[in-house]
Amino acid sequence: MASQPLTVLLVEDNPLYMRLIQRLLRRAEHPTFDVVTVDTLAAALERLALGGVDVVLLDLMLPDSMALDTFYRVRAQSAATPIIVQSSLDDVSLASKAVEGGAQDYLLKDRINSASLLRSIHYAVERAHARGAEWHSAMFHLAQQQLLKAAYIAGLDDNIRQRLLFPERAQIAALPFKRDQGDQVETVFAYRVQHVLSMGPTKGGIRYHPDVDLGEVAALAMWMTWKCALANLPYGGAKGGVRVDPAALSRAELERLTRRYTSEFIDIIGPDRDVPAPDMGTDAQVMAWIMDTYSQHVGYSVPSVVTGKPIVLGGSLGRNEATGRGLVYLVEQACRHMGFQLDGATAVVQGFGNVGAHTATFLAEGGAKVVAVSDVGTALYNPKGLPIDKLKDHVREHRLLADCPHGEAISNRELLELDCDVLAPCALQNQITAANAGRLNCKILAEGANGPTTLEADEILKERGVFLLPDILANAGGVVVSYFEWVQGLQNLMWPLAEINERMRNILTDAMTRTLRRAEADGLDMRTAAMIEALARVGAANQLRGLFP
Amino acid sequence: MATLLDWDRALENADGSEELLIELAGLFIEECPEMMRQVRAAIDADDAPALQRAAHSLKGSARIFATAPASEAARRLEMIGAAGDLSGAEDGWTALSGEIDRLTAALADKINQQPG
Repeated sequence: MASQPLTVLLVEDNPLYMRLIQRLLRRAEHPTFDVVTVDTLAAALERLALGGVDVVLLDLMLPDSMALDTFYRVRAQSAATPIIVQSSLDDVSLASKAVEGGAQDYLLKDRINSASLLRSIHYAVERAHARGAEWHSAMFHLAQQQLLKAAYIAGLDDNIRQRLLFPERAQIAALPFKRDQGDQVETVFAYRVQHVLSMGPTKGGIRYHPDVDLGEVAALAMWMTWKCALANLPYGGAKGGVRVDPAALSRAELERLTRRYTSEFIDIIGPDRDVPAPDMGTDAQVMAWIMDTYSQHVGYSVPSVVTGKPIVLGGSLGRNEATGRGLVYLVEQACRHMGFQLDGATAVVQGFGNVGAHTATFLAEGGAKVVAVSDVGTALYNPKGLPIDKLKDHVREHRLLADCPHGEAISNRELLELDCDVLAPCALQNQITAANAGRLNCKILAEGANGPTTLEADEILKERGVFLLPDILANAGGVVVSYFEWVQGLQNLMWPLAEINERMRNILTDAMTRTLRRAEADGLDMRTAAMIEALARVGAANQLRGLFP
Repeated sequence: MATLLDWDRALENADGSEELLIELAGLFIEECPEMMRQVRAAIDADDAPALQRAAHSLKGSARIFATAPASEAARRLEMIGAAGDLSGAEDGWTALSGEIDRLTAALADKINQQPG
């Protein structure tokens, strides 16, 4: 974007700001700007219809339109054009709503200077371009909007906000591996993304899934940063992925793929650099292969290069079920906060993989009646409570819940809308949206999955008084016990299960208490409060380290 | 008395350029009567949204010059407009007119102090 001037549509009715921004942009040399100025919404829509606008600088209070209406109408006219909202400090909620609605960035009118103005425009355009290419991902968009909203409300330093919107390091490899049919080589795309490098080593799972792309991995890496920071773990966030369907591969093919992945990324992983763990489509066996490949490379055994290993290779007790167990610890605390007991409460769990099945198990152990669960193809409902052990036996034998005789089959949509005390979405992202949030009938929403709820749905749930355990808090049990596994490995000291669970409970309880305190003190929803709690730590660390050189 | 005009802060708002700030001051003096006329007209017509908008615009302009009293007076009228009950608007108007007169006088002084 070197020599081509950027066309900025400045929508502003205040003549002083109009002049100020025109002057600031006119002085810019790299890039240069063509500024088109209009002072009404009608004129803005007319100009946008002609095309060729690279970015819109939008004042929300116009003679012919006010507040969010302005934003949504401009957005509807030209959805692909990045919009930067200008607002003054006393309209905080307005700008944060615009950010939720998809604004690329915001500028505080009370603090405009040419550096922040130019950078905001430049980055908004860059981000729009990047989204159009390999970064394009609804999940990454959601992660960025969540960050912008929290950054806005917390008044996060501009420099740090811009640094955190994209990962610090992202590597892509086209990864070849031999199929079992001797002469066939498959090439798949593989990623490793490290979001923040200033908190210590980075930490995050590796996902094998046919829909993985760079944007999704980047979103998950960003969420790992918040998760680790919220739990006060000495890690930045990372994530890896391979765009492949693991169910279509033999065990030998999976091993070759995994070893090749490890060797492609071997320079950026390691116990002091970046420590992978299992995620969707990967397990303890995959971690064992990564550990072995890495250890072969350096010449001695390095168990702490991964977590989620088999116990005999230095895995931690309690790691496999940690996410579900941690989620239920937090649900118990949330129940007490809401004034009832988990014992005797009703619960619905979406998803029956590692997180969902363990969550259902621990909910039942805690005395809750689990009335419905689901997996990818089946949702089962039994108002008297489902026998979770029998469901697990069925899945062990048949892989899926289909044809399981212990409940009535319902649709996934019906499952989410069931009347219950606790709803735990433990499957996929993007399940609770503006379309169904108004019909949820739970008191507590406990996010076992990453990103199951959209920002619009957050607002609806907040208005309806649903208590949210946000993903970065609710499913942090996994990374907390991964941290214990890493610590035990570095010390060559094994802890008993009771100690592991107790330490996990303490860390999660503390994180929840801090989040609740912040939410109540500042009148925030739990997700934003948790994000701000995490951002405070990452922001402080970045400030203290300074920036090299 | 609160500072009428914080020139150093105002300079920051104009990206450190005295020339730009003086230009904006001139523009403010030029535009101010029209903005004030809109505020007055909104009060006379008992039009709360129009008052909110007009006062909002004035507030934004005054803030460039880092002047707490004038922008605070404009903000009060903006809130009155947002609340929809204009019964306190006359008092707000009196306060605003006084502050805006003082601000434009101070800005005119600044412009006149400029060499050339």
